[in-house]
Amino acid sequence: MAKYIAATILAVVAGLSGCGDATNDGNLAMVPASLSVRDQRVAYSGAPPVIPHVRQSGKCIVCHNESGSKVPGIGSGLAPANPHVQTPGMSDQSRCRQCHVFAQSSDTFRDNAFVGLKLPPHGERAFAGAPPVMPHPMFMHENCQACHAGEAARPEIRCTHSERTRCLQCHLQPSGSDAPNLADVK
Amino acid sequence: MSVNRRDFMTQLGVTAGASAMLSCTPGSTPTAVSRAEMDGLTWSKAPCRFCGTGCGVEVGVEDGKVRAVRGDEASPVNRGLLCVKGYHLPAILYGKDRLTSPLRRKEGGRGWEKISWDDALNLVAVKFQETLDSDGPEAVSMYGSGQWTVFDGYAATKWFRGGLKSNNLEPNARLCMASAVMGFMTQFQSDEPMGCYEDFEAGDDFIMWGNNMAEMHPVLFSRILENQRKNPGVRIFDIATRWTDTSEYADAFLQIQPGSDLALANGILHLIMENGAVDEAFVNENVVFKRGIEDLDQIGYGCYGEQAEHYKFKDEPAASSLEELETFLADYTPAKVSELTGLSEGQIRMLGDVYGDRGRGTVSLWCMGVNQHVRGTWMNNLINDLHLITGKISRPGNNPLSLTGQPSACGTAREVGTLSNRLPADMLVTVPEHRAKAEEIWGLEPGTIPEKPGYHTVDLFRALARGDVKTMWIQVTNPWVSLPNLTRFERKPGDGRFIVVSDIYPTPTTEIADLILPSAAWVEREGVFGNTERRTQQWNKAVEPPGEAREDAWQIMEVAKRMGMGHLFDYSEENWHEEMFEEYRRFGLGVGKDLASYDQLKETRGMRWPVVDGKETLYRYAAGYDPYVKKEAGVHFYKAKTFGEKAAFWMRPYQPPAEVPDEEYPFWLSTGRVLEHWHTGSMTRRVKELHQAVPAAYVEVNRADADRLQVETGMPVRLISRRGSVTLPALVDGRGQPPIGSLFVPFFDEAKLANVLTLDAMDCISKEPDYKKCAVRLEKA
Ligand code: SF4
Repeated sequence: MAKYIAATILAVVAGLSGCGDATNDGNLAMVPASLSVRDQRVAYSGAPPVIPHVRQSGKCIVCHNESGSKVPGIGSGLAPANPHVQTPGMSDQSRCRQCHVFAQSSDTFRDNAFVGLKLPPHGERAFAGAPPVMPHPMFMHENCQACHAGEAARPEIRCTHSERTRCLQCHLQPSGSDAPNLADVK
Repeated sequence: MSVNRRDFMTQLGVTAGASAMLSCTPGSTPTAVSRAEMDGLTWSKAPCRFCGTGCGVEVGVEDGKVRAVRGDEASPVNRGLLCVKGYHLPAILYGKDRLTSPLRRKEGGRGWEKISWDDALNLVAVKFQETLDSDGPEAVSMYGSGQWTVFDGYAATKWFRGGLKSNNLEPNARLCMASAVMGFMTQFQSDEPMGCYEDFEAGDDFIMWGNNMAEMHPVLFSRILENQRKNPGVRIFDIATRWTDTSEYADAFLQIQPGSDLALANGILHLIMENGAVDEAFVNENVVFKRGIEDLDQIGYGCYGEQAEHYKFKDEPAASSLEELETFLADYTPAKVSELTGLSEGQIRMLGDVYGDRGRGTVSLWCMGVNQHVRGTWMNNLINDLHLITGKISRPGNNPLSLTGQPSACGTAREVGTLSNRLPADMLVTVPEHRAKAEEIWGLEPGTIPEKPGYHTVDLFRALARGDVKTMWIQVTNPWVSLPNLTRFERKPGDGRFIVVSDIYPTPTTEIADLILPSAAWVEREGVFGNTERRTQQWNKAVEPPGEAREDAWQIMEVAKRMGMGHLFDYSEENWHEEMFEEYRRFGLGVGKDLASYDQLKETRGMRWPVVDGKETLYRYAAGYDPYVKKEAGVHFYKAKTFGEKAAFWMRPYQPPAEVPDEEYPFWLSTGRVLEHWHTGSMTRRVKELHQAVPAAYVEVNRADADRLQVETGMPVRLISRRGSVTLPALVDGRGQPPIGSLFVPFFDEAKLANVLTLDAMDCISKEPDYKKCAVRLEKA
């Protein structure tokens, strides 16, 4: 319990000191464009994105390594880091294309009316300036830095303080995400 | 340990400083951050709709629509992971061309007219009754699916055998799992694997027999890879006729000639004997030796002529011995097996050492390569034999683990027993006591259930083409894409037959139907599936089906009622699923096929039978695991009554495939699936991401053949077999790479039908056709 209290006090202090996420006014303007790009690549929030670049030789994890890398000439020139390196049960040689697929065509076979859950813009805050709660489950995204730090991170979710690597110290996870608490699952 | 928001705020409240800060933000304090509040969805559990792995998913619903799924972290099957098909489950429900009302073919055959459910159900009842009256119960039929829920399959088998007094009921699982069924039945006298998914962590060596597991059971393959990452000594051996994604991760890629797996397995047995690796204590205590009919002329392949139309074969076990086995195997020397398989003697000896090494756990894994095989039952027998003779069976990390293709091939086709000769819980229509037990549970007059097995699938469709079968009801499957040698079964409405098709989308099968019934899919209804590892999984209805779509079991029960057979389905309206399941459960109780109670299934992420006293069984026949084994240690094959409660080791020779390449048709053709599509693609092709990933079928060509024939990727080529031809683009250096002289075509594409090329040759015992071996010619189109 003592540990919790210490952590929560820290969390509040961090929130008050203005050290939240990067969703400040300057970056908000970029949210729609950036999110719409993400939206096009996932069927719904939580779905694995399709691969936006053409097939390359070699293993995906060479460029999509733990910290991401520069890949001049391919897509945006930045390969986002692999967010799954710490996912339990997923080995580092796991098959990326088991979930992420290349698009080989842009047509559809038949029309589909599916509307996926939209991506959350950012997490709720307890009060203005408080550190936002994680708006997505932790599972498969244990490496926060993969999406929230570095040049490949989308501006609206890029963290201003990625050097403070203990993210969970201030940003809470939703319940039932790391240790399944399935009380709300019927 | 995680902290949720409520805990967080409570903890804040106990610190004076913090509570002062909190007071600055009245009214803005969120309560718990449950998943539901995080995203506004209501979440429930279900198994994945697609493969036999049976991954658990959480289904997120908003405004009556599925908006998202997540891999269920609480599911012991997949522990939160899914494959790309599973992640794209929600969209399979929302294709704009969903069938939403019953459709009757218009007079004259052109076009469809909407009719009411009442008219549709009456029409089905009338047609079945007419056929019964004119041609008897052998002229009506139902063709279902390993994707049927337990409820659908149970309603079908009860209606057919108990109501119509016909055994002409088959699932498409005949095309998929029948050889594995016959393997287990002929050796253990009880169907389904003794092992379970814990074998993926417990095993040391994983032997793939013609099994592209990386694409077909991806999440299970991930479990092996994870084991290998943690334990670098873990090895994967890929015995295959073509390089696949699985080969890429294998420690050894062992490319064999099509059909020579029989020789290889015998060669390994030969080496086990030669190396003194037989576990004699185990064999003496637990194994009997059998020999069946081996005369090729007597067995044949069941495709053409006399033999095809009147295909009868009964394998009689003759007693044999370990000594006779030695003589039987004498021929299968590494040199001879090397000649037949194309492997080096060293590679064959390596496999002999793998199976013979008592210090390492060995798991054999197979699926369609072994099952869709003109000697599929034999090949299943041989794999089981390898584990019996080395005692590597019914122990953690040591098992022959047959992988099931469909989500409920085990639950519905095998356990409920929707094959034409089966009753629930391993029982057969040919055994008087079994019929009597079914009649007792179903409350029927003794003698109601006919003892003659119905047509097996290929024969059923041949009988339909001949006109011996007049009325057929097809549910949850698409035979006019998936049957082998499709042109043989062509059908035109107005030919005096009546075909009803229940489905969720228009398919080539609905196209030839006389009546189409719109079905509810997956979480649009309550259901139960049974997966590969004997796990029974229940789910609740999460959303309403579109329009007037209704679940398949309901459709069957409504027709039965209209035919005066309502007494078969005397359940309450509100709770019929549970009542039906509990009735079905009576078949398995006390005989080693005990299913969990419906209540327990609702509460859990599935339970592996036998479930006794609420506890599931990881390893069947194993002391300490299986409650039916009373011994202190070791195994007890208690189901194999006529073998003295021992398992049968069958000697099975090598025989060549039904059709081999020659001058006119110089290429081998194999057909199969791809990761992104489910079977005939009627669901997955309607999902944008999956369709765009693999938009159309193609033919994989080896680089050397492509160069010789001046063919490049994307270039249209024509494949011609003795039965038909199809034009499709070539793929060179693609994901899968067949060796020189071999081709591969996926069968999901209804516009480029692989099955006009395939041969409807079958395994003599399981009656499962061989989709993996026929001869074709390739021409530039
Ligand atoms: S298709 Fe099979 S492996 Fe993929 S998510 Fe579904 S059950 Fe799991």
